[in-house]
Amino acid sequence: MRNKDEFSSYHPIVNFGFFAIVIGLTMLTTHPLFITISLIGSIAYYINLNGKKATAFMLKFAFVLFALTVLINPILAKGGRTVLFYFPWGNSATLESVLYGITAGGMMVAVITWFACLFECITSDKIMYLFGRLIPSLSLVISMILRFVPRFKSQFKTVWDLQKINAEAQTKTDKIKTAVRCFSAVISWSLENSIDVADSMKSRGFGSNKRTFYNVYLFRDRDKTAIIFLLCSGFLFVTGGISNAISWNFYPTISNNQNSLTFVILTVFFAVCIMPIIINKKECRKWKYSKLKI
Amino acid sequence: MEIFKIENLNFKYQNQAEQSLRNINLSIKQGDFFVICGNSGSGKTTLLRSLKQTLTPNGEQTGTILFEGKKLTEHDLATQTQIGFVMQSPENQIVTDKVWHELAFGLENLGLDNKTIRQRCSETATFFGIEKWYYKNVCDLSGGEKQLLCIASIMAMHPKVLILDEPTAQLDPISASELFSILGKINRELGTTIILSEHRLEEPLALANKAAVMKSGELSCVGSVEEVGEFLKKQNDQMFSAMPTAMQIWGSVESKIDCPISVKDGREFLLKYTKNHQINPLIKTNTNCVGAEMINIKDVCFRYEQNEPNIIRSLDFKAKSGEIVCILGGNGSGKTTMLKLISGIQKPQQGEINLGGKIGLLPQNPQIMFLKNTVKEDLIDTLKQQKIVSSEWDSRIEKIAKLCNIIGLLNRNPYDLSGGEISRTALAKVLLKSPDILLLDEPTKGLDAPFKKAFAQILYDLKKQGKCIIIVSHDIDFCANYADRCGMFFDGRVDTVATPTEFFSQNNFYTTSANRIAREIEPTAVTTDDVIKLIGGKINTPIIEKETEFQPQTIPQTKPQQLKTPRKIGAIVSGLCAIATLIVGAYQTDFTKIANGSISNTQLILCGIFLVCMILCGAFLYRKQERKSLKKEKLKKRTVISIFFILFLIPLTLFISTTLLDKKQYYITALLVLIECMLPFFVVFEKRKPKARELVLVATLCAIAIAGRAMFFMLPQVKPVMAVVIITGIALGSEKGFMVGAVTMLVSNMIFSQGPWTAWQMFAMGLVGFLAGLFRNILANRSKIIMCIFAVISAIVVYGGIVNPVSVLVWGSETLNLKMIIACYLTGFPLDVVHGISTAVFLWFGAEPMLQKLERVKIKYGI
Repeated sequence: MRNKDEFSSYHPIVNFGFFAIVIGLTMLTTHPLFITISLIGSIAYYINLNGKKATAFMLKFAFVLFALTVLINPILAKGGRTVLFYFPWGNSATLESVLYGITAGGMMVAVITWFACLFECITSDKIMYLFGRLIPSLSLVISMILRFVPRFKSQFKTVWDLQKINAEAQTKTDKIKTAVRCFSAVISWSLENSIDVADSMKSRGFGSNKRTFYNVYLFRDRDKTAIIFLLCSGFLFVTGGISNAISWNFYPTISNNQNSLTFVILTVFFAVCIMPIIINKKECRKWKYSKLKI
Repeated sequence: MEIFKIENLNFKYQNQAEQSLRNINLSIKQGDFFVICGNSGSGKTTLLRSLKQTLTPNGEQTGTILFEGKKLTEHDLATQTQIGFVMQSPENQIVTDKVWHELAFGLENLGLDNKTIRQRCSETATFFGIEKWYYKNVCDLSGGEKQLLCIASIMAMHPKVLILDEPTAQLDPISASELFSILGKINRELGTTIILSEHRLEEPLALANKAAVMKSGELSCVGSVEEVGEFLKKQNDQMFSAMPTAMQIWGSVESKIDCPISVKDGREFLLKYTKNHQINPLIKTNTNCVGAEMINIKDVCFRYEQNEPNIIRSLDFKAKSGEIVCILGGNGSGKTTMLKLISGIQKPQQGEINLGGKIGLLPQNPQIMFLKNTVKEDLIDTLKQQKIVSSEWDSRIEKIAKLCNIIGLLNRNPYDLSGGEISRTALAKVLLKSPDILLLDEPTKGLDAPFKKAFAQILYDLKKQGKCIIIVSHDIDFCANYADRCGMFFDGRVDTVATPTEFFSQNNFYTTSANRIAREIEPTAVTTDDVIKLIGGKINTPIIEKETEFQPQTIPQTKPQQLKTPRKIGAIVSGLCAIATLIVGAYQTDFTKIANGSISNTQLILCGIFLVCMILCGAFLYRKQERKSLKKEKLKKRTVISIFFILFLIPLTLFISTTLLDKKQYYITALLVLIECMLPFFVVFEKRKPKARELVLVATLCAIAIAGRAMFFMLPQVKPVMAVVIITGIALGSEKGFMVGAVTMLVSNMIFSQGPWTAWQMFAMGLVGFLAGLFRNILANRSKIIMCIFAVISAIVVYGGIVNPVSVLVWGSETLNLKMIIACYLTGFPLDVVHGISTAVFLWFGAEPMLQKLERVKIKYGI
C-alpha cells in the first residue's frame, strides 16, 4: 500500500482524530493566535505532502477567497466602535470589522488547506474503513464508484478518439455535440455492463449473510500513543472552550480574556498542528542514519 | 462421488418460443475437468448458469439439478457459494476498487471474521502469485491479471466446483494459456471440480478428462475427449472446425490411430500416418498484389510522454489496395498505437504517414460504438452524421447489411447481440462511412470458429472491392488462414512482412499449431487446411447461413400536438419576461448598492419575478401526451416517516443550538441540520438492505455523473452532473434520486478533494434529485422544455441557494446578517445561471435517450 507520508501510514483512526481536532478547533475559535498557528501548521503540512509548487498553486486560489472575505466583511458588517473611514454611501468601516475580516479570511484558508491535506491523507479506503460499519451498503457503493469512474473515463477516451477519425476541423458546437454523443455511448455501455457486476456480487454470496468488514490496518503501539496524545489535547481544548480561555471578541471593541491556560492550550495546539511534520521528519532522519551506517 | 447430477433439464426463456435447453442429462464427478464445447447460441451459457441458482436466467425450468445429492434449490445461499462462477468479461465481474478488497469481498459476504479473512486472503494471494499487486488499484491491472483476480477471489471462498463461462474470450493468447495452466493447477493440486465452456479448445481439451458437445440446446455427446473426437468424426459435425488442430487433421482421414489432442500427439499421428500413406505436394499460388499504394509510413517515431521511451521507433510500412495485411505481436508492443497513428488519433513526432484514402477503424470492443436502441437507428444515425439525404438511407443500409450478413439483426438492440454478431454489425457501421482503408483491432476476439469464417468471408468480399485491410491481432491461426501478408511487430517496428507461408515457416515458436505439427514433413504447411491437403483428407467447411430478405422500415414519427395560440403567446411572453428579469438582475448585481441596504429587496423581487415567469412559461408549454405515465411512486411508509423526521428534528436542533450552544456558531448548527436532513435517506437505504442490482445501479449512475465531470474538460463550467441526477430522479424515483445526488457529490469531493462545502453540496444535489423524483410524472412527460425549466430553477434556487451561503456561514459567525447571505448568494449567481443553462442544454439533448436507456435497464434488472 502506498502512503503519501509517514503520518498517513498511521491507523486511520489517528488520521481522522487529528483532522477532526485541528479542523474543529480552527472553525470554532476566532482567536487570531490560534488561527495563525493553524494556518502555519496547515500550509507547512501541505508543503510537506505536495511540495512547494503545488502549494503555491493552491494558495493562489485560497488567496482569492481570503481577499474576498477581507473586503466583504467591513463593507457589510455593522459593528465596532473604532471608525476608520466612511464609505461613499454612508456606511462606516471599523477597525474591528477589518481585523475580523482578516481573521476570518485566515480561518477560511486554514480550513481549506486542512481539508486538502485530509483528502491526501485519508484516502477512500480509509474513509470506507472508518464509516463502513455505520453505512455498509453505502460504503460498498462508494467502493464501486471508485472502481467505475476510471473505467468510464478511459471508455470515453476511446469513443472520443474514434470520433476524431475522418473528422474535419470542428467548431466548438460540433465538439459539444460530439461530446454529448460520446457521453451517451458511455452511458449505455456502462448501464448494460453493470448487470454483470450485480451477477458477480450475487454469485459471491452477497446478501446471504450479514456482511463483515475486512480491513488491512494494524493498530500498533505508536497508534496508541498518538491516540492518547490526541485525546488528552482534545480534552484540554474542550475545557479551554468551556472556560472561555480561547475566545476573542471583536465587537463592539476588541477584548479577550487571556489567562495562563490560554498559553498552555496555545502550545499544545501548536504541538498538535505540527505532529504530522514531526513524525515525517523523524522517519526521514532515521533513514538517513541507517543509510550512513552502511 | 457425483457433484452435479442433471436429469431431464429443460429450459425456456420467458419471451422465446423455442426451448434453449432440451432434455439435458449429465453427471459430473468430483475432481473432473469438464469442458463443454459448442458454437455461440448453442445454450452453453444457459446450461452453466442453470448450475448456479442465483444466476439462473428468468424462464421456465423443468427437471432436476442435484448438487451433492441434494436439489440445488434446497441449498441455502451460503452453501451455494461453494459453486464458484466466473464470467466472460473480467472487467465486469470486479466489484471493488482495490485488489485486497476484491479478494475479501466474497468472504465478507459470508460473514467471516477479520482474522479468518486475512488468512484466506494471504493463502490465496500466495497460491495465485498476486502478492506483488495485492495493494494495487484494480484499474491498474492488465486483462489477464484481472481475470486471475476474479478466479482467485472466488477460490478464496473455497468452492467445490468452479464454473467458467468462456473465461479467456477477452484475453490474448499468452494470458489465456497462463490462465489455463492455473486452472490445471487448481484441478490437479486442490482437486476442485472445473466445468468450463470455451471457444479456444486447444489448451483446455489437453487438460480435460471429460468433454461434452452442445448443439442447439441439446447435449449431442458426452464422454472422454477422445470419445468426443470419435463421435464428431463419425457425425462429420460442423463443431469439428472448433476442435484442436491435431484432432481436425486426424478427423479428415480414415485411420485406426487414436485421436490426438495436443501438438505432440498430432505430430506423432502425422508421422505414423505418413509412413504408409502418400503425401500430396502443396501447391501454393502466390497472389501478387498490384493495387495502388494506400498506406506509406516512413521512418515514424512516437511516444506518449516526452520523457518516456519511444513506443514506435523508426517504423516503415507500406500497404496496397486489395490486400489484407496482418500485424502480429505481443501485448503492449505498440500494435494498437500504430493503428492510432495511421487513423490520425495520434500524431507522430517524427516521420510521415501518407494515406491514399479515407480511414475506417474497428476498435477492440466494438460494443462501445453503439448509442441507439436498434441497430438500424444507429446505422441511420451514422448516415445522418455524414449529411446523406434520407432517400438514400435504405439502399445504402441494405447494401451494407447484405455484405455483412446482418439483415436479421437490424431491429435488435446492439447490446442484445452476441460477440460475433456485434463485430459484424460494428463492421457495417464502419463501412457506412465508405472508407478505403480498414483498420481492424483484434476483430476475432471472443468469436467462435464459424463466426470467424463468416467474418473472414466479409473481409474477402471487401478485399475484392479494392479496400486495403490492416488487421492487428493475436490470433495466429486467423492470420495464417486469411492474410495476404503477415508482419511481426517488435521493438517499435514491423520488421519482416511476408506471405503467411514464408512468415510462419521461418518461425519456430511463433507459428500455428498446424505448422508445428507438420513442419518436419512439410515446413510450408501453415494452416490446418494445408496439412489436410497434404495428407489428402477432406476439408470441413462450415456452411454460412445468409439471410437476404430486406424489409425497409420507416420509423414512425409522431409529432406532438400543436399548442393553441393563446398558450403559445403566453409562453413566449413569460419566457421573454424571465430573460428580461435575468438581464436586469445581472445588471444590478452591484455590491455598493446591496451594501446600501435598499436594493436588496428589489433584487429579491426580481428573483421572485424570474421564478414566477419560468414556472408560468412551463405551465403554458405543458401538455399531456399519449404516453403511459410512470408508475406512480407510492409514498411509502418509510418516506413519510423520514419526512416527519426532518420536520421534527430541524426545529429541535435550531432550538437547542440557539438556547444551549453559543448562538454564533451558525456553521455547526447548519451542518447539524443538514446532516439530520440527509440522515433519514441514508438510514432508510441501509435498513432496507438493498439488493445487489440496486446498489450497482446507484453506483453506476453516480460514476457516470462523476466521470462526466471529467469528460467535459473542454468546457469548464458545463458539467452534466445535475442532468444525470435529475434524470435518475425521474426514472427511478425520489429516493434513488436523492441517493445518487448526495453520493455523487460526496465521492466527487473525495476525488477532487474539496473543503467545507461537501455536506452542503451533497444535500443540495440530493434535494434536486429528490424533487425531480417527486415531480416525475410532470417532468417525464417528454416535453423537454419543462424539464429544462426545472433544471434552471433547481440550479439557481435549490443548488445555488444552498451552496452559495456556505462560506459566509464559515467565516461570518459573529457578524452574520441577511445582507451578507444575499451578497454571497448574488456573487455566485452568474455561475448558477451558467450551471442551470448548461444543465438545461444537457437535458434538451440527452434526457430522452438516457431515459430510454434507463427504462431498458429497469426492465432487464426487473426493478
